[in-house]
Amino acid sequence: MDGRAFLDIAKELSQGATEGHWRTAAGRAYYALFLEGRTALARWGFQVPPPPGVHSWVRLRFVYAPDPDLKEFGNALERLGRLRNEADYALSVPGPFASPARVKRAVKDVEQNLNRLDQVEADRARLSAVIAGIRKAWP
Amino acid sequence: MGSTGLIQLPIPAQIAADAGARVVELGMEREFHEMLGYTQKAVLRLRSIAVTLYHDPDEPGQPRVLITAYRAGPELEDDRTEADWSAWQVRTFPPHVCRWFSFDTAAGHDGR
Repeated sequence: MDGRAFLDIAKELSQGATEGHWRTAAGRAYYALFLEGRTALARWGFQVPPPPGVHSWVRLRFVYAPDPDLKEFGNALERLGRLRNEADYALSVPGPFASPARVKRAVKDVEQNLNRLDQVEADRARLSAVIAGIRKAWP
Repeated sequence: MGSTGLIQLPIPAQIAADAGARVVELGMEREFHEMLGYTQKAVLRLRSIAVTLYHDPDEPGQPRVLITAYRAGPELEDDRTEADWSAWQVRTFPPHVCRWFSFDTAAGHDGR
């Protein structure tokens, strides 16, 4: 199984009827993107650290990537990570989980950013520049 | 910016004291004000802006500055405001700035 499989679960949960479904969907959506990012970095030759620091480690590699699409991938990890934390820990008010709209948007956000990642990986020259740029930013 | 306060913009921004202090600590006041200005200009149905410090449990000790745009009307499934703001940010600022500033939208009002 790969991280992307969590996106299908997030989609299913976002169609659910309760706040609990929508909060859980937010977590699965984040992990779909995070795990795909982590796996890509490992595939590109980076030594991935163990938890708990791996979340920020992955995000910052993308934020510093010399490619606008992957910078946006990094920003998406940031906003989805915040949404995940709110979903799991901020239970006193519904907040963005008063309706399914926000989490459906998160699912689309993940889809768009996985497409960005796929496009970069499909272009060998672009990917080489990305890897070199990340290595330069994080020697 | 070290204390809670309002920045006078067409729609005022309420800045929490710790968030303002963090901006100063980062030395990124100019970039921060540019982000507030862009938020004013780009966010439709904007009612208010709140700036707070976000303590990421995955990155302890490295709080980020979170700009939240409160908007009239309900959350919309197809809204692109956050994605568009993000695209503007990465076009406008280098990574060492982007990593410290986040943007969010919320339906309604921040309670003031």
